[in-house]
Amino acid sequence: MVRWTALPALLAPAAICTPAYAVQYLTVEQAQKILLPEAERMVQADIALTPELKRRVEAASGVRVRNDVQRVWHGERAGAPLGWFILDEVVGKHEFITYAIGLDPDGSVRGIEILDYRESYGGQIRDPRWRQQFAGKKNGAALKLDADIRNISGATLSCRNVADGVKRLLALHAFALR
Amino acid sequence: MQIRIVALAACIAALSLPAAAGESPFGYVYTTDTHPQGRWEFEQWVTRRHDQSTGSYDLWQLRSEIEYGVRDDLQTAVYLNYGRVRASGNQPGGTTGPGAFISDSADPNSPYRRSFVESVSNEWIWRILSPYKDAIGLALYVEPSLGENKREIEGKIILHQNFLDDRLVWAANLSAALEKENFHGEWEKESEVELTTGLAWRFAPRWHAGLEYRNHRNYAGHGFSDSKREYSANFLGPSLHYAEASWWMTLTFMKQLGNAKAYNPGAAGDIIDGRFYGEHHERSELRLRVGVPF
Repeated sequence: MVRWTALPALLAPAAICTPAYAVQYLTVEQAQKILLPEAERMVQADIALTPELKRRVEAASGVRVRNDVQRVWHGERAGAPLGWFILDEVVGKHEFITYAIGLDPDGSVRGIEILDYRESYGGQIRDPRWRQQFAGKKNGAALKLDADIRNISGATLSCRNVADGVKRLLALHAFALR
Repeated sequence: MQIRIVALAACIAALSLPAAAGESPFGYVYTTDTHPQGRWEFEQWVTRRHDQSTGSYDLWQLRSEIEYGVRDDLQTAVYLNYGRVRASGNQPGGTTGPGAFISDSADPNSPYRRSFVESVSNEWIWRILSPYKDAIGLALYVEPSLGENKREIEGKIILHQNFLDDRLVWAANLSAALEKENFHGEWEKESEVELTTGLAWRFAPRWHAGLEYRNHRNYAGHGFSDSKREYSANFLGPSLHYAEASWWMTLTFMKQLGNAKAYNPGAAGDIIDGRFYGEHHERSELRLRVGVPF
């Protein structure tokens, strides 16, 4: 007779033999240098997401705000503001996707960088051509899959959530970083 | 069986390549997720159907499956259904068999065991609407099966939607099947309708915990009219799902509820303490699914 304890033995080989798939593509500092390369220094200026601010961001973006604090830096050169660097996480199929956006002072997207992506499909989300779609977007842009954002096969959930995340951050800029 | 598990574990280990997943957080309920075009996955199912009304009964059903993304919205799979049964005094009168997996020639006064290959199946899933882009996910499923003692064609309508930032997954399937099974030396026609539904909550990265429900209705002959209804049985139980980029597993335990209904005298005789046993159902089922995309 097969004992129930034998069943987990099925899983052990996969766990043992499976290569670690956790990939950190960029550190925060590396992403900051890519998105605001001319900055002499980055000043952390995290934003407390009060219930009122959450409500306004959610109303403007149509995307739920999950966290109570948003990690934000502003870049400076010779004391002059260059733009914003916002670090964020969204839900992927299995794990959180960590990404960052760089914004010009007027709130338009300079670029987007993927720091961690640990999903089965959709590694193309790091493809510059996919990320380039966000460049120049401002608060109010549709940022909708199959409209102004191209989908990636097998990673629809990830693509949609990154697009929604950027939409939420652009609304946050409009209310809290102008 | 232990040899089979070792072999299965070896297959899983051999196929543990860094790649992908098109998994379901449910053991019994399908979602509309399909593999992208050109991607493959190996899946192994192990289902233990345990205990009938008396004596001892264990049916181990195994399914080894290869899935392939034909298009981004169209997936096919080929699988082999096989297993092993072990029974002793499982009939209400205290005798052993016969049944769907127990031969007519089984000695009613002795324990019985046998390994078998049941059928080969070919599954197709066509996703029409995506739960990530549309108001609800919708897919159609068709699966013919062919075996020495079984012919079956099954169809499903699959609904799927995520809620609460994709942390809550809901899916429901309405299935209908037409079968011909060789019972007691004769080919008998029967039909089945199943409604399955489940909710799964992502309580931590990589992990879902859920609850699944299954209603099974059987019909004599081919057709789904009231006059052909034989019985209805219900199952409910929890599921646990773990997934990462290179493999996933789902474990579901389903207990038959004590509210089975019979629609003819023959089926009524197979209901004991509110549960239908007959030839197709047991007191509980435990299913493990392991998937390795490659």
